[in-house]
Amino acid sequence: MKTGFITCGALGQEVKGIVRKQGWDAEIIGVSPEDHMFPMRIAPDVEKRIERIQERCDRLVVVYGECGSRGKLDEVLDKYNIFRINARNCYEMYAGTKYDQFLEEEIGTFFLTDFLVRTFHRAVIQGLGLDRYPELKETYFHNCTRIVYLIQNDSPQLRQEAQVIADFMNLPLQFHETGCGNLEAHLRELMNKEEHRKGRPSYRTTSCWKNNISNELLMCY
Amino acid sequence: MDLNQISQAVEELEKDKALSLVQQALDEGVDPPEIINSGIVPGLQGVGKKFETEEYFLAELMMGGKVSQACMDLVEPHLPATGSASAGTVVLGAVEGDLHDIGYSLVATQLELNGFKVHKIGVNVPAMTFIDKAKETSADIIGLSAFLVTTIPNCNEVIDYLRDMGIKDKYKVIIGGTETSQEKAVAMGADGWAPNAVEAVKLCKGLMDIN
Ligand code: B12
Repeated sequence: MKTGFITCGALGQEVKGIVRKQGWDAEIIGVSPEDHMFPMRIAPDVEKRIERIQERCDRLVVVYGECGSRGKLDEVLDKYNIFRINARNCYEMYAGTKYDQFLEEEIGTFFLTDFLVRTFHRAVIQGLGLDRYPELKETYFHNCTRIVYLIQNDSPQLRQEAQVIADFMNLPLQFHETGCGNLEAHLRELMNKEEHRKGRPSYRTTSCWKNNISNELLMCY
Repeated sequence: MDLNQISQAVEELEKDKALSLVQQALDEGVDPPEIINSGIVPGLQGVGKKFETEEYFLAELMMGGKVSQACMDLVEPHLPATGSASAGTVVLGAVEGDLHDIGYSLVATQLELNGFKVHKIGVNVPAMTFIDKAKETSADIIGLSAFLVTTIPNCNEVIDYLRDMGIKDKYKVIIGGTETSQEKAVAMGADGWAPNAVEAVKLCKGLMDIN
C-alpha cells in the first residue's frame, strides 16, 4: 500500500529520513517553505499536490501544522477526507509538550530548527526584507528575549550557525535536542489512523485535530 | 500644492521627499488635516494595496508605516487643538502569548488617521488588562490581535470575562491577525473582524455608526 506524504518543505528532509527508517512504501512531495510568508497560499498549494498524486497513491497524509491558513487548509483536507498531523506547528512536532513549557518559561522565545538554521538567510533575512531594510531588525525582534534551538540532528556546524544567528539577533541562545522522535511518533499515528479506517472513510472525526486533543497521540507514545 | 505628490512619495517609500513635501505644504499654509487626509492617508493606503497584490512585501509595508508616521509627526504640532469629539476610543493590543505587533500597529495608525483615539497596550496582554484599560479609558471598542493558532483562545477569554462581569454590552470587541477569520469572530461572539487596517477602520466606523 503506497502512502503519499504531502509535507511542508521545512520538514521534508526529516520526513524523508523517517520514511526511509520505517521502510514505508511512500511518495513524498513537498510544498515550498516560502508559503510560510504567504500563509494563504498553503491550502491551494496543498490541494494542487493532492490533485497531482492522489491517483498514484492508495492513501494520502499531510504533514503540516496550523500555519496561518485561517482554517482553509483543514477545509481542503475535509473535502478530500485526508488526515493532517496532530500538532500546531513544527516546533511542537519536534518538541512535543516541551514546546508549551518553553513558552510558559519565557514568552519571548523564538524557536530555531535545523531547517531554520540552515535557511535563516533566505527564510528570515530575505523573507523579512532585512537585506533591503536592515533598520527593521529592531522592529521585528524587539519583543523576543531568547532563542531556543530545537536540534534534530546535532552538528557542531549547525550549533555554530545558530550562535551566529543569536549574535545577529542580540539574544541569548539555548540548545535543546529533540531529535526526530516526536515527529516520527506523529507520522506513525497518521499511518495507524489510516490503517484503522481502511474501508471506513467515515471514521474521521475532525474535532480531534481542530481542538488539539491528543489522546490518540498519547496512545502511540 | 498638489497633495497627490505626498501620497505618491509615501507610496514609493521616499521618506526624505515625503517629508520635504509635507514641510512645503505646511509652509504654503495648506490646512494640516487636509495634508493628512488627502496626502498621507491615501499614500499609506496605496502601500497597503501594493502589499495585498504582493507588489510590496512585509518590509515595504513596514517602511510605509514608518514614512507615514514620520510625516504625521511633522504635521501633528500644527493640528488645531480642537478638543472636538473623536470618532471613538479603541483599546488595541496583541493577546496573551502573542508578540506580533506589526499588524495591530498599522491598524492603530489607520484608526488614528481617521479620527479615533487609540490606546495601544502592547503585546502579550492578559485578558484582564484589556478590560481594565477599556474601563479606565471609557473605550468604545476593544481590539484583539492574534497571529498564532495558540493565542486565538485568548481572544475568547477576553469576551468570556466581559460576559462573566456582565459588561459585554458596554464594549464592541473586534479581532484581527493571521489566525483570525470572520467565522472565528462569529463563533466566539466578537462584534467584528477585519482582514486589514483599511477594513478595520470601516468596521470601527460601522460599529460607531459613522459613515
Ligand atoms: C513578522 C512575523 C514575525 C515577527 C514578528 C515581528 C513583530 N514585531 O510583530 C517575528 C520574527 C518576531 C515572529 C515570531 C514568531 N512567529 Co511569526 N510571523 C511573522 C509573519 C512573517 C508576518 C506577520 C506580520 O506582521 N504581518 C504583517 C501584517 C501587517 O500583515 P497582516 O496579517 O495582513 O495584518 C493585518 C491584519 O492581520 C489586521 N490586523 C492585525 N491585528 C488586528 C487587530 C484587529 C482588532 C483588527 C480588526 C485587525 C487586525 O490588520 C493588519 C494590517 O493591515 C507571519 C507570516 C505572515 N505572512 O502572516 C508569521 C507567523 C504569524 N508567525 C508564526 C510563528 C509560528 C512565529 C513563531 C512561533 C516562530 C518562531 N520561530 O519562534 C514566533 C512566535 C512569537 C510569538 N510568541 O508571538 C506563524 C503563525 C502560525 C500559526 N498560525 O500559529 C506565521 C503565520 C508564519 C507561518 N506561516 O508559520 N513572527
